[in-house]
Amino acid sequence: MKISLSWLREMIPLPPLVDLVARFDLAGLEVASIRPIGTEIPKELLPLVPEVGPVWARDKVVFAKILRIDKHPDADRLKLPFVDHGTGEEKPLVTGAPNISVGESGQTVILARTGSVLFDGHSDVKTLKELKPTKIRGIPSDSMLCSAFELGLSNEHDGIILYPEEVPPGTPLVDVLGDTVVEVDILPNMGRCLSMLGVAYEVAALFGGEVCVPKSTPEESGAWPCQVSVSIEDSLHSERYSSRAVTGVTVGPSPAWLQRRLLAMGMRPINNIVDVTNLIMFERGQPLHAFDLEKLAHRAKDGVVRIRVRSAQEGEMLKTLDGQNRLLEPGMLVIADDLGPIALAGVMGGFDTEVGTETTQVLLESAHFDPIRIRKTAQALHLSSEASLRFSRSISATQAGPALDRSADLIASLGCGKVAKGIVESWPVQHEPRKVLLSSQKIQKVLGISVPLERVETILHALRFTPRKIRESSETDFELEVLLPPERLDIQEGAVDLIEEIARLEGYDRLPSTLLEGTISKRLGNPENDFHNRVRDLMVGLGLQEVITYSLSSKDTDRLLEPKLDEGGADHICLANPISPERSVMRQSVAASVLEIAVANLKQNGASSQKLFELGRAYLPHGEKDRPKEPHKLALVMAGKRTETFWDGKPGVDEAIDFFDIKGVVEELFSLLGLDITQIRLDPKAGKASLHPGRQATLAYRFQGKEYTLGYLGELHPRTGQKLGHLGAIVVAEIDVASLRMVVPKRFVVKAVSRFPTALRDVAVVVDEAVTADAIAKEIRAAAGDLLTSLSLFDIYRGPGVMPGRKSLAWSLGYQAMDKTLADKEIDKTHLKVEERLVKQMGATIRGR
Amino acid sequence: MASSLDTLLSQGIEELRLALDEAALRTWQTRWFGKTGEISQSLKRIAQIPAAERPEYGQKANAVKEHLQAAHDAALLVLQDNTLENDLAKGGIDITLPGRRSSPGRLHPSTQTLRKILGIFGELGFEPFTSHEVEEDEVNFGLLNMPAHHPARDMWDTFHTTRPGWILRTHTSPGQIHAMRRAAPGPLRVVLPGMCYRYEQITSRSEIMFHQVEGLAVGEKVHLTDLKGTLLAFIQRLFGDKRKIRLRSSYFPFTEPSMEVDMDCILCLGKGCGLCKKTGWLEILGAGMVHPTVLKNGGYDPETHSGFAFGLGVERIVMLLSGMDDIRHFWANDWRFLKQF
Repeated sequence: MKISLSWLREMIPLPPLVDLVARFDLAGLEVASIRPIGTEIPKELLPLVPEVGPVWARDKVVFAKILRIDKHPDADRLKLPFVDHGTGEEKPLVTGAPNISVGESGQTVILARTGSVLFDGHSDVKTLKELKPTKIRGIPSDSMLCSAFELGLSNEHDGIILYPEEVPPGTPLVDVLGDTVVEVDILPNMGRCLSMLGVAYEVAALFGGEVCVPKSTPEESGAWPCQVSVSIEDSLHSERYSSRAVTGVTVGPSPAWLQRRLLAMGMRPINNIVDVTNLIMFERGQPLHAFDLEKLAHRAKDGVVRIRVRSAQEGEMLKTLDGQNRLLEPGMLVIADDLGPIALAGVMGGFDTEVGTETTQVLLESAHFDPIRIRKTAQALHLSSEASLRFSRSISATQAGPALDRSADLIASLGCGKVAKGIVESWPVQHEPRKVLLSSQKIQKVLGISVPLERVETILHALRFTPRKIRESSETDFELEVLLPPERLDIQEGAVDLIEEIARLEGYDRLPSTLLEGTISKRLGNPENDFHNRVRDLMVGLGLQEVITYSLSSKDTDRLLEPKLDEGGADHICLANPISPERSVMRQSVAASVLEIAVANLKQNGASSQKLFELGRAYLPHGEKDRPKEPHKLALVMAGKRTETFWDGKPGVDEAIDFFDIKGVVEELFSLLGLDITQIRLDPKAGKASLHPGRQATLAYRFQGKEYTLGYLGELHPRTGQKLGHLGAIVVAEIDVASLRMVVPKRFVVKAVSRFPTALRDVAVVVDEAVTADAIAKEIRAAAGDLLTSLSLFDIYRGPGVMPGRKSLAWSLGYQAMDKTLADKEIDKTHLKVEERLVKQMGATIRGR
Repeated sequence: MASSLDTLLSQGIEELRLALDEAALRTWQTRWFGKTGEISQSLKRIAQIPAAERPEYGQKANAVKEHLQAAHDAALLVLQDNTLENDLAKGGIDITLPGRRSSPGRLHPSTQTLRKILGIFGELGFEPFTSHEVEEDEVNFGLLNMPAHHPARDMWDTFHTTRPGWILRTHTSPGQIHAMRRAAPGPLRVVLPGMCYRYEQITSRSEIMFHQVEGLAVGEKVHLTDLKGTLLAFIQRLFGDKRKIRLRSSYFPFTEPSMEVDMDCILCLGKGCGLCKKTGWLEILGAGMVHPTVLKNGGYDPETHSGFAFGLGVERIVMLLSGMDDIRHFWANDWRFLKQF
């Protein structure tokens, strides 16, 4: 909402601008910007001024009147006007303005005297320049006649301002045209401040002062030129429709002051009738509409204009003021006559009944329309207007009458027409004045402080509420019955709305700061959240960088890793209004999002390696009846160099990350979570076409006799890598976090550490290539029993000494007892058992034996 | 004879002084402590001593032996020390060469700041409560006092899903309903962290996805002054104990009264600078007293219970604390950005 301060000042005395802005900001009228028109803005407010223009000094920029215009002796293009500028002596000037001619006189112009600082008229960009005495073609010149551009009024460059009305010469320009327009963001519950009068009441409440309401009783003369009836057929969505007739209308441009006001509000002047309706809308917040009454009468078969407020019918069309033919839908509210719709109620008038230059009779409309209807219609037709904006914020039906009278009166007093006798209206729905009970206890309960009765009453009165005491035990123990002014439709809840108003006007800065008392809520805790944090910390400890990626993704991205998604219908939660195809669904694969980040960092951002994880949500539609599922997934992506190159060039540093790096991270994570990594089960038949067929596995874990599938890990299929434009190996894993949490033991028992020495024995087991390390380890453990306390694979060998198709795995076994130092004999016996079992069960040969 | 032992001692010490390396020390050792060394000789000489003097001679001879041995050991130690020091001096390194750094992981900046925020509210007695991101329109808006076509819905640009009535939550506030329904009619103090979504163009200033933290306290004695005190405590713990706050009247459909909470600028301390756009204040939070309708929808009786709620954007706090000026960094996850946190 733009607020013209010169207009506002006519309704209420204003405090200094700095105070006004500061108080507005705190009271919910946040000032978005300030536009000075020839006025000076205090320094501290300059950040709010998008464009600083010239300041029209009162003694330097004044109105003047051209007395005569002489020829310049040497230059055809230049003219020598002589002006009266209020000093009693005529002033000679030099100008090149194309819009005055030698021999003319009597024009009202704007004169800038020496020392004025205005926009430089010789520059296309707006630069402020001080006017200094000079000589133009031999003739001294210390003043000039100004263009709108030079004054900062518009971009009009081509001539000097010829002001359309007489103003006494010498009158400071700033007194007539000067203004400051403050633009305020209006909150949804402050719709009443979408009018100058509403803002004036707010100023009065904040700073004191009496609001001067413009007179609104028109002088009536003559009868209605034709018979008009009004009926509301949809009284659910329109409570009141009032109309007045104006006859003997002469349509023409509005007077300068009125045009200026509309321009200050950001609205283009059209003609005197339309401009008056718009002006009163800004003044009162009540949108009005003017129909050409003759056109309406022509449309009526029997000469009787029957105005109906009704819902649009299927297939009805209306050509709106902007010339567009619009297809209406049932549910849209229209104003109609016998032939059909003549206006879209509260949104835009109709083209066929528009007021134009030939109009001589006008029907003024002032009505109440349902805010939701108007809002829906404006949205559906993409037609948002100053009127629809106001209607959609709720306007009381009681406001329709005064606004109608005021506009009729203004039209009459401008001499544009005569107001016919009487009002034609329908007002089927009328409300009782609303009352709210407000007690000191309630104020104390919400605010935490008590506000004395006198203060409460003062604030309520200032906001035009009418409080009545129904109980007063003391200054701080009372109850009031508060009568609401009808326009305060934002007061819906009752007492808390009034308490908000009290706090707002008191100022929140006066409230003390306290801390909550009473019992703390029963500790709900959030073990799930705690677990997520624990996993994140462990991942960071394992050297992985956390990322957070878009949970809005695309089917294509998800299919990088889950190619089967959406094959049998929609597996995704899809957005109805995505901002781009890349962000059109809720992701199902967290790993796929992380994968994209890893590749971007390797390919575009110059990273030599990526070790990333994200613990975030996947989103599953989960049927048509139920709430979608949002399971947390732990996604890991690793690629590039295993370790950074170091200056001492130790061998092995340039090796690339492979499957066993990610497996190692998973194992270490499990171990840190207290899981037994010997219970991890990897099934190589994960069946993921997106992964390397020989380097992928389903990840499962045996816990309390059951096997839980937790996720998968593997190396990206080279073709998947190609799609992303990355050729090196990338390993990925995704683990379902809730499942992982389920297998984490709630408590674990520490194993005792033996005081006795460990004896190490090695064994090199030669087996067929198909035999897995895991199978051998299982046999070793089974054979060695409790005495085996450590087992590690330290070498794999293929080559001379080992038959082709076989491999040698060298293990180191640690034997240890809890209660004694093991004798060599005992160890030898157990170790032999291990070897024999391997030979027997695995078809192994033992190297070196 | 005893005097000859004195001579022996001073002679031994004198020779020891001349032994300047370990080889010379070994020669000295043989000469004095060898089988035919001076000490053995002088001990053998005891036979020639009159019986009465023997004990004294013997004692003295032993004392000389011990003294010389101790002097030898001390000299050896000094020599060894010197040798070691000389060797060490030769083994110096260029200490300016880069250290061997492991490449540690880091938490994402949003996670770090979110934890800080939750930590502070945890100390103030607020438990984290997590909720759904794909939410019913009714919970995101309707139950929060924004029925269909409420003008306040314009304040949130919403992503709709293709399933009618289901949207991406535009704020963490729908979690208020879930949390209240779990705790009502008991007292409640929770913080609701999580990802929220807005239908917007992605620019340096606006994102389609951001973390919000919402706080909610409901009880029989929860006042606006408590809200102010809680937020002041939070802001002073996060931004320093000299921070001031101010409350500006505002509007949210789910609170009444509603306010924006500003903090004096952390950069210029209120004087006015680029960060605070010369106002001296930074907008940090939206807050208010829970609207009676919302309390009712959460299962509380607004006659007996009141509540306060507030919400803040996590990424905005990270940006304020780190001087970032482009919100797009957060989900781009460029490693050069992440490694700075």
